[in-house]
Amino acid sequence: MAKIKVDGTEIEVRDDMTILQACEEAGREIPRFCYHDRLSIAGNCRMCLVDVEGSPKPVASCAMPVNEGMSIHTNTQKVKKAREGVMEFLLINHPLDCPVCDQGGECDLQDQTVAYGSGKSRFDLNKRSVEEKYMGPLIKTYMTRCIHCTRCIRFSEEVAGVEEIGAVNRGENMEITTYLEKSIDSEMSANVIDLCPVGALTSKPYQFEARPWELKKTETIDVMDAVGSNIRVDTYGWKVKRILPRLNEDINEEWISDKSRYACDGLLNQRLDTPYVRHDGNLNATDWNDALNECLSFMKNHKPDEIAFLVGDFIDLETSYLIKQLSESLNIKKIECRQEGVRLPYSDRSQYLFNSTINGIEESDCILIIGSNVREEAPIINTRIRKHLLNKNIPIGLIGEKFDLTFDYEHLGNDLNILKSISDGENNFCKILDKAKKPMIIIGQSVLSRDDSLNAYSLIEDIVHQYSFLDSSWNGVNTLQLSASRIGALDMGCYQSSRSLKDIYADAENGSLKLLFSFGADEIDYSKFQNTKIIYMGSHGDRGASNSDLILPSAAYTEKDAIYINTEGRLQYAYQASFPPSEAKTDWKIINQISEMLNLNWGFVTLDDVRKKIKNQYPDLFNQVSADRPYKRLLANKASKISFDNKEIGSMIKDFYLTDSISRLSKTMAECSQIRKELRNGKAI
Amino acid sequence: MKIINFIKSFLLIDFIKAYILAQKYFFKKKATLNYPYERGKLSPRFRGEHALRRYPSGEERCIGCKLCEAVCPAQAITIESEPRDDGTRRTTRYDIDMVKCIYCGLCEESCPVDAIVQ
Repeated sequence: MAKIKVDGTEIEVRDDMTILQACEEAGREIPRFCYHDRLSIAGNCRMCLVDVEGSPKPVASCAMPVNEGMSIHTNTQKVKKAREGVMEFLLINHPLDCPVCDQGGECDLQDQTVAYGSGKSRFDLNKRSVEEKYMGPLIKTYMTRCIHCTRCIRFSEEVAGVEEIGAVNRGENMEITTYLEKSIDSEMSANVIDLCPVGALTSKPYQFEARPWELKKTETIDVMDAVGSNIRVDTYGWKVKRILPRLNEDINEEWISDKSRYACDGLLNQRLDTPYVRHDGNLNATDWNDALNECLSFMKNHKPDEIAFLVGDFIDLETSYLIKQLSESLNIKKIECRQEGVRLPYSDRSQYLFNSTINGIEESDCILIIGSNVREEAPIINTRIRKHLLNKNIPIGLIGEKFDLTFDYEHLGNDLNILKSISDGENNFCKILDKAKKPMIIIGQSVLSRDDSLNAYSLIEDIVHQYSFLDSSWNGVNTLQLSASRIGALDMGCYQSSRSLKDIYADAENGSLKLLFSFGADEIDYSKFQNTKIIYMGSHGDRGASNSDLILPSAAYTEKDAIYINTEGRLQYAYQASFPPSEAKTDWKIINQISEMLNLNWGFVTLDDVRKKIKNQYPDLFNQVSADRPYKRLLANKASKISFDNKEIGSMIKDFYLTDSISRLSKTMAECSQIRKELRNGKAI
Repeated sequence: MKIINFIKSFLLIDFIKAYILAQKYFFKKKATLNYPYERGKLSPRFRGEHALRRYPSGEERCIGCKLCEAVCPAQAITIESEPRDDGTRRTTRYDIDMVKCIYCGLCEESCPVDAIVQ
């Protein structure tokens, strides 16, 4: 610890802190453009100048470490003059186009010019102008506005892990550009828009759409993957205009993936806004009374074992709970939420959670990934692994298809027999696992959804008990889920033990299944249900709706108060930002209404009633998550003779940008997907 | 009374009075203005009705910056903007609710391109 003085008040700070951080600690605001907490230090904007006693010139505080006994002044005349000078230089080439700039109103340069600038310019020569650069379908560039802070370059190199943004030329001629002006091939690329302190990089889909001051801001939870990133939804009237990340050190830090950010334009397309019933092959609009009566007659006309419930990817905890209650009241056994086709007979939460937690990644000293393209399945987790790898250089092994994960790892092979060799101690990776004190294993859905997943999982459990994956303070067994609803639905018991979606397919094909009630399940193969009546409850007209005989329109994730549990088992509250279109209703209300028509007497009036009931029944869900949770073994010890299907481990995600009903209906995502395909096939844009 | 009236009309006093008044106004400054080439003086506190201007070439002045919308204390202005085909920022809707307008003139003052005038 070092004792320093900031503006006369003495404070004690860590030795490795910079002056800027120390001043923040002391409650002083230091203006800055290039410095960012999560990026390396560049020190090229010079805005953070402070006066250090004994130094003849002002010091760039972001790059200067503190020293014992340092005395720092942040508000002297000298500092004020230095800041005014820097501002004047920065504004020499910055155009005065704030009225047409999308950053206007949330611009660091604008704010700091008002706060620290001198208010006049002595420059009367021509300003520099720079051509626009192409950076893909998400980032709009206006490079004349660039002040060369290099945050975007540092982000793409350090956080996103794609070295595709860089600067060419020097001094005044410096220009930020992408490599060969191609689109940036990263799932995290749009975060540079938030990082840019000026309007040089702005959002293309949101271009000129609205001003920050006229948007209603709602802090809520993202559902595009199972990570549950914290987001802020900005709405203008009914329309969701944009989605921004919200700071949460435990989950997404301050990044979100491009899908979380830009799939929101899918919320405006193909919405189900009124109930539909199929008559003579055509879906006709109807009203709620008719639709619900039809729904009841469907359910009453079939025996419980002829009905199946499928829970989709965006279903919140409350709705999952009510679906489970409904299935129990009606004695329906075929209820399934695992649309990937996982068969494991889970008996404890720890068997399907990301037990180590996302923060825990930074504690581990070895990671073994089995059949998961973490980069596309959970970009936030991938970013965290990359961050940890850059800090600690831990060994990472991958079994499964070879992916570009933006960091170096040892590819052990695309074959489940490698699990056997690790379990027998014959693999080279075993030595690394032996040495590791806190190893992590990340199990992807592409292993669990295989037909031989029971064998694979029992081997994995063997490995887990053989090495130090589990002890009293560490749980290194992680299952990476793919959708926001999955953990909640599993917790509520919306799955069949020792049966899977594939068995429901088989039932449908041999005719023993007559009615399918699909609660927003769009990722299944509807061609298997050709002789089955289908009721679909959901928000978008995607695969499910077009195949159904009855559509009950419900709210999308920005349109309801709800609880989501992320892949770590962390329970988070999402809040309503907008409202469901036209006739559509909130999901839990629809099921509650069905229950009332069936005279089930649940007695729920408000959403809080449902939440109270859940809290009474499952108090554990509301606990804080931590990496010292115990792991309960799922399968019996040591499956001695194990054989695997001679099949490679594939990838669950075919196209990162088009994974669910909302992103499939988003124009921006379609464009991204198209451009990525062309990029990867070598056609430069 | 009759006698007084008789004397007045006999001496043409009313005629003379009217003649003097006419002569007075004849030498006074004229009130008529050669509108529109000449205009009356406006009070510095005058607030008129606004209008959206264009450039002489016919191009709209408004760039959809929404500053007038933001500054309007009566929230009488509604603007929607989007990029035009040539990539510039333009409004697709510019509504002023004249019933709400309080003629404060702040929108005129805030406009960076002098598109809205009073």
